[in-house]
Amino acid sequence: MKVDRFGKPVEILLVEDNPGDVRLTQETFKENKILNHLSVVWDGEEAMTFLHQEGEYANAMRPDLILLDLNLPKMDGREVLAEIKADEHLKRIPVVVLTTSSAEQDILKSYDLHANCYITKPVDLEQFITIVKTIEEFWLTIAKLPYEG
Amino acid sequence: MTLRKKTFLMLGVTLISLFGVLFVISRVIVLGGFADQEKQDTHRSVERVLSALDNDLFTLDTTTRDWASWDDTYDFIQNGDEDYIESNLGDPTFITLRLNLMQYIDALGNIVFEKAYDLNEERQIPIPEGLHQHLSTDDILLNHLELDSSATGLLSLPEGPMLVASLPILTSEDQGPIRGTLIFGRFLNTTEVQRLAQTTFYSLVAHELRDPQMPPDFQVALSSLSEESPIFARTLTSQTVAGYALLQDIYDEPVLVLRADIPRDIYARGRTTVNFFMGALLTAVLVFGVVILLLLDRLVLSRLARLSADVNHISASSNPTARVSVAGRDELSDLGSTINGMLGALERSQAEYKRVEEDMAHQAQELARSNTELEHFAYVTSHDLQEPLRMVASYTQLLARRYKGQLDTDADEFIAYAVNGVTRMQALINDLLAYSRVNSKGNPFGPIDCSFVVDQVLSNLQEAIRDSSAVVTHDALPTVLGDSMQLTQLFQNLVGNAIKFHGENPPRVHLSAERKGKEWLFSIRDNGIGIDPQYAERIFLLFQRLHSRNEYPGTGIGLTVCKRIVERHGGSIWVDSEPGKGSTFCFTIPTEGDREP
Repeated sequence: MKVDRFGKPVEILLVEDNPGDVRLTQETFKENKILNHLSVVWDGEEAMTFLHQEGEYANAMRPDLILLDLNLPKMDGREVLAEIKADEHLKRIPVVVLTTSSAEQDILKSYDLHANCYITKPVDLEQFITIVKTIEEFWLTIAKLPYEG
Repeated sequence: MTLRKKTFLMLGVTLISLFGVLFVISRVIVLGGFADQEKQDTHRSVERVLSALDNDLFTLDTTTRDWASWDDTYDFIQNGDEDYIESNLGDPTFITLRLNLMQYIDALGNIVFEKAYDLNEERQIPIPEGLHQHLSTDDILLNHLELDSSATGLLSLPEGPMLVASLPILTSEDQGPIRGTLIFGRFLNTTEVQRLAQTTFYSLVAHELRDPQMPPDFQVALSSLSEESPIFARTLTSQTVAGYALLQDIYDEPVLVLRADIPRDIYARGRTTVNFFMGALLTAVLVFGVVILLLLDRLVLSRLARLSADVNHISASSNPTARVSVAGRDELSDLGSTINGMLGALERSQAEYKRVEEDMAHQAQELARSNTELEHFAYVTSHDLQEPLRMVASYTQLLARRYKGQLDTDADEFIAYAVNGVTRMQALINDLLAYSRVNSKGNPFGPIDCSFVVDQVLSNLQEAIRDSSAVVTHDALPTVLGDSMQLTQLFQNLVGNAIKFHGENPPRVHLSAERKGKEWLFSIRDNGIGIDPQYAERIFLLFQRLHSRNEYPGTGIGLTVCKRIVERHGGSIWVDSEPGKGSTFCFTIPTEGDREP
């Protein structure tokens, strides 16, 4: 089992409003080889509060990876993305857009806003599991994450 | 140039030409007639002069005859009596008879007496030199054989021309035998000529032929004078015409040209008359010309101009209700009415057109609105439907995984059906979405190299190709105007189908393109299972499938999307096929430049 350099678990923030999807993601991440801690926020506003470590999230850990759904209540996922990538302190955090939409315009918009990558959630469970594992494998083991202390 | 100016010009030119022609004709005919008359008159005048001259000669002849047929002379010629000379041949005789010469010659040709006298200076002068030359015995002057013979006429001497009369010397009873010849002569000098002129009332001028100082007009006349036409007339000035006569001497040789200046009274009068007539004609022509022009203008030209101006004005103003003015009851007013009729029809059709335009704009607006709604609907549908689908599919599968082995085979089966259903549902939704996006999300057309697209497609399908051991070939494919993404979809669908629907043999697929007039005809031929011709059209309908899902997977939407794409590009698609003999899918795309996106 690999750990990050300091032996701490990898912090992952999941921004997702669908409980079904959250549960799925959680279940899948449980099977990960890497020690990770999955935080969940249910809308865009909460996401920003979490990232700014404000309010109830004052003690939240800065995530090493953000999984972002696009269609969120209140603050839309695209706005969240824009804000993250505009924020000096947050813009280095890799954002993986994980959404149901396969629309060309959504893909373009996300990359315009500097999403690190865009993944469409498949219907098939097996595929979904494979994708999550692939995300984990790629972003947590292959790609180097910026260390921000 | 306006019609008015043209008409005026043409009419003016015609009338002037008419006048000109009449003028020329009149001059030629009338004055010609006068000129002829004049010529005749001139001839007659010259003849009159000549007859005056003849008169003179006759008088001379008579005088000479008187003296020649005289007993005294008869005797004198024999005896040469001095008395005779004294009493008859003195200076007074010369003066009285106006003679310059008297010659008495006997029968043997001896000169008994001769004397020459100058009438101007009134004194005797020597006998003219050349005279004696003429006095040989066979000369006319001396050769009097008969009692009544005589020789009268002109004699050309070095001193000038002389009128001579030569008669035989006889008794007073005109009896012979002839004892000699009497010759009287009178110089035809200027004085004589003037005298002649006075009697004839014409001014006369005479020149000897051999005169080196003959004036040019005489020379000109000379060239036209001859024995056959001894009289020649020539216009000298507008007032006078010169009549020339060629005079012959005694020996019938031309020696003298006489010119009589004859006033051209008749001709002058004729000319004046003609001029007056022409003047009157010109005035009449002008007056009538003006009248014609005015009438023409009033009746036709100004109305035409008005009509033309009206029409121009109307066409420039683009006022649909305007009409031309219509006055009178003839072709022009008919024209005006017809034009107005046309304008009325134009107005109506314009109103119609406008209405249709408005309708169409309205419809287009509706269409756009409905399209936007549809798009939105399609997007929302696919999007919002996907999510619950995923939930059902995912959790059913999770169930299967988590409780594998803990559930019975029935449960497994049930779960499998559920998941299968959801998966298909999702595929259907995606396909529907793709179908709706063909027109709404199409890109603007640009030149697309189809060879490049097909290579891309083969790369996309490489797994399917590998799995089925397919061989896909293509000819050189053209560049067409189109949407590259949609063309990729199109080719991928068709090639994918060709590979999918194979029989026992590995699929062999070939793509080709052919130019047919203004279109490219693409063909995708395969050696697959073929299609029953009775279904050849149905397969392009939405969700139509010819096989069960177990045999060949797919939602049945692929060909519908292909049809939509081909139609968006302005072409058409069909299939030629027979069961068991493979299929050839054909579609057309208009050649580059013919189609606007």
